[in-house]
Amino acid sequence: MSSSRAGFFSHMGSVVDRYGGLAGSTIGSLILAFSGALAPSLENLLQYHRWQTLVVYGGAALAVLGACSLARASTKVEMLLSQNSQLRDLVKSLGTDIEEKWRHILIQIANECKLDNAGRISIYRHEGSNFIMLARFSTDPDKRKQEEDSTPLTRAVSAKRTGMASLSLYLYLTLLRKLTFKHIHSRGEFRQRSQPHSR
Amino acid sequence: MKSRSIVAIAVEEKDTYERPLVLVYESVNEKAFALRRLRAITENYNDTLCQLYLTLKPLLPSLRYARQEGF
Repeated sequence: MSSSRAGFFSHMGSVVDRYGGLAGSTIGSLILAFSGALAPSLENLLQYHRWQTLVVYGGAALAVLGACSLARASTKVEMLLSQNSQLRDLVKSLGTDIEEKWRHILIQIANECKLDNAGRISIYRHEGSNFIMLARFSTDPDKRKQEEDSTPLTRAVSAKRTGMASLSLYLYLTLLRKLTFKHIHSRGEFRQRSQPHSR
Repeated sequence: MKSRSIVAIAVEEKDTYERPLVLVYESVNEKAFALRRLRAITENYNDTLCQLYLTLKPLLPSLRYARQEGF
């Protein structure tokens, strides 16, 4: 319970962090614009009541804070983009090494399995409902090819789900048929239909 | 591929116990590789695979981010 509450507040914090600046500057600007539009002159604007003055100054403060937050966010985005490009270069340089590291273990497992030309060993990463292939090993080069669209494992899992759905539907229909039969039988309709005419 | 054996590899990370890696043995022969034997072989490499996964996790390809980037 406490972890779900913490998760909720963490989520709310990230929402405020992400959209707070934009919302603050927009609402503040709108308040300032309406205040300016509703005031007939500058003197009237300064002669507002206390709550009206508070609204005007609050709107101005909100707009300034929102703009500051947006400026900070844009600086952060620039910093992250530069970090992202550095990381992308790093991944590009390490990409082949990563696959080689996985493949090295796969080769060891394949040796223990005594893998022949007919088989292949692959390692996948499970992410959401998808499986991303990390590496594959086979002594036959044709079997190392990777399917472009969906991985065979994804298809296998979806086939299993379809099978379960079909089984559930079959069980439901069987139960429905049995219940209907029982209902007809209890009303005596089935008996009347099945009995031959006495004439 | 006519036969397939699948083994999920468990990784313990920050008090969470997930199975993010899946090892798949496939063959064009109809006789499937014994799952029990494959599981036993994989268990010997479990620690190595877990360490490799945790080390390379930040660098592994992410489908979600790849889609966001438009790849």
